[in-house]
Amino acid sequence: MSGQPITFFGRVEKALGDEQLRKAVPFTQDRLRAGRFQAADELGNIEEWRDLAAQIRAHTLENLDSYLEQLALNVEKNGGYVHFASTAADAVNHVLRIAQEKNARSVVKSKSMVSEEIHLNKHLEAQGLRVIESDLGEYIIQLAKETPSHLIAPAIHKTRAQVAELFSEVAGRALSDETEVLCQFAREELRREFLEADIGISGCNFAVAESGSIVLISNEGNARLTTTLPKVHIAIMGMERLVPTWSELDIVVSMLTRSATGQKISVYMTVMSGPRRRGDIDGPEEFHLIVLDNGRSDILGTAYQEVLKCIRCGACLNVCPVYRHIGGHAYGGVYSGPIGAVLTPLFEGYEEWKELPYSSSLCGACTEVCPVKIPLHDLLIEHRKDEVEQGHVSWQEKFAFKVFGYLTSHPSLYDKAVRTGHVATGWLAKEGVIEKGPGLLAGWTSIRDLPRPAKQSFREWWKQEKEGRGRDN
Amino acid sequence: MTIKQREEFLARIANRLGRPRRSGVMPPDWMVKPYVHLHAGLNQETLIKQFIENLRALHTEVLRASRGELGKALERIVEDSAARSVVYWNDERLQKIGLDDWLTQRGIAHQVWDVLLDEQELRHRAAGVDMGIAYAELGLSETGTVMLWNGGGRGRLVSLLPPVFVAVISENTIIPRLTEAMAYVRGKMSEGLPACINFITGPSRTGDIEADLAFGVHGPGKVYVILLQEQENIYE
Repeated sequence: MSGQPITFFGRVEKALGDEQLRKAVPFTQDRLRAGRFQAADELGNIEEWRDLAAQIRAHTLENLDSYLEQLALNVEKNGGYVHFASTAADAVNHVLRIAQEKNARSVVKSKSMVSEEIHLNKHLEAQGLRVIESDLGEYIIQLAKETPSHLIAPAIHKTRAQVAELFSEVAGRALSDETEVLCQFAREELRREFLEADIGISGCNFAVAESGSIVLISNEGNARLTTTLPKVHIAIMGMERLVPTWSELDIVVSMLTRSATGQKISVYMTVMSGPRRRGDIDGPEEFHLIVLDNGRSDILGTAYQEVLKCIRCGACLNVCPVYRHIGGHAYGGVYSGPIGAVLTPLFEGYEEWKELPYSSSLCGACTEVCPVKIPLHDLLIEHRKDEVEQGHVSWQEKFAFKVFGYLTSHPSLYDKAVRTGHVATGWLAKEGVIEKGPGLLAGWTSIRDLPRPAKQSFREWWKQEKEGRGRDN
Repeated sequence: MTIKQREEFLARIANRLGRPRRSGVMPPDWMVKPYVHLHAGLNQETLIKQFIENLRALHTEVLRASRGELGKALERIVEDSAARSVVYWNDERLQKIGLDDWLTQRGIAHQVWDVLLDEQELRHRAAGVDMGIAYAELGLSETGTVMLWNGGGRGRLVSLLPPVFVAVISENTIIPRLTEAMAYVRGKMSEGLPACINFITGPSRTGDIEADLAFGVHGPGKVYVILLQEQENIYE
């Protein structure tokens, strides 16, 4: 890893100094958010969809033991193996054991946040295995020895020139920085890796209990190659990522792609039910499903249970004014944005992560777009309460202003914060007035209405006026 | 994995949820059906038109052809894509429309997905040809998606390795959306599902380099759909 600072403030400082990041994050946010809102508009009844998706996820969590049991039995019926891993180490050991049994030398992977969560690559490489990330964005950051900066678009912080430089090094010749050239190079280079790899490792967007199937959503097709060419396929899933039947799959997939990018469906939705059948001459001969707990069961039965409804669409990142300023790396954990701010302290404790629940303006935009209705900003408040109660933070308001004050103290940032404020509060404002403010605004708006921030800040207006006058003269 | 370990894992979940272990739970009948209004009252021809429009928006050309016009459609695709070699499903629906004969007459190198052949050799061929052709089970109007029911001679690499992919589909099998496709799959569950079902919607794409849209980074960068008209051309 190219050294990320270990403190929250250090990471924020670094992010604020990164020009490319400061340009790319808002650009990506705007693009994905616009897609999401258009897709929601086209449905015409997004609230009904969110309600149903939320009910489905809640029902699945309430009966998780039953559906996981059904899933496991059906995967085995299909000829696959199921491994239940209580910890990250258990999951890693399952993968290493399989790799050893197969005398594997190389592993090709498709994008999987769970494998990031258990730091799988590091462990595989320590055993002398060659590990190749095949999602184009993941491949880029693997070459750069970095971590994803966005759930859906992991390499948004790299410029095309940087990508060309990374690829040229692999190619041993200078490549131009045209997208076509870079993609063609990646296609050829990665295709060779796919054809030679011994094991393919994928995540799992959803598993379907009733048929023992796993579902992979992708646009590039690398997930298909990963799960078709190598003789062995290992899928790793967070234990909450399943649906009872194909009927529920319809709803959650419809929500996932629309919320993530605005696509009505991804280019590829691949449903695999065990290894190749007798008479097939393609597809893996062996299929393993690793079901990972790694702290998830600790969240069940607590005030935070709803966070397990998450389907990893990234919509909350795309509307978050804080994410907009600091990008994904500043959060420090595997998951960034509002969902990361809720999840990371749950997985890894408050000691190292006490700032995360405070790295939010509590504007509530995340909660508004969440396709499965996780009350994200309520959970951030819950965290703040728990941190105070457990003595990690002495006085909530003071700490809140320390973190949030820091995030907004940079002059260049102030500009952006005000302008984003206009967009973010759009959901709350009726006819230009915010009647009910969440979080930090709550105390204020309980006694008075807050005017919605102007479309143009004074400083923007002043700059424009000055330039205008300059031209007139 | 022993049964005991699995049971411990599941028992922990039940314990955390504060109730006894559950088994055999079925989902409730969800009363809300938020998708109904999207396609209510649309006739088959409208669904087909919407299917075509959605694919065109994704840079995918759809050619409507009667069975007699199949050669014309193929000619157009071969010219447009400059494909010189083809791998295709061993599927009687493709045989019935005379694909094999057409490729032979046209002098295009072709290889059927014959499961009796050597696996490595077939894979090598598929990785080297210009185009793959398969027959889709269903088409989803709302999204422009084709569903492939892989297995045996219906190899999944045919729609994956070559840079150009052609899906042939009967216009009678265009359905409104994912909902009907899921019902179709559920209906087949008692016979056993294939190891892989693909839902494919246009060409392979990525925006990972400065959000610049690019096609074909891993899967086929060019997709064509031949929509077979089941009666004589009644619409034109």
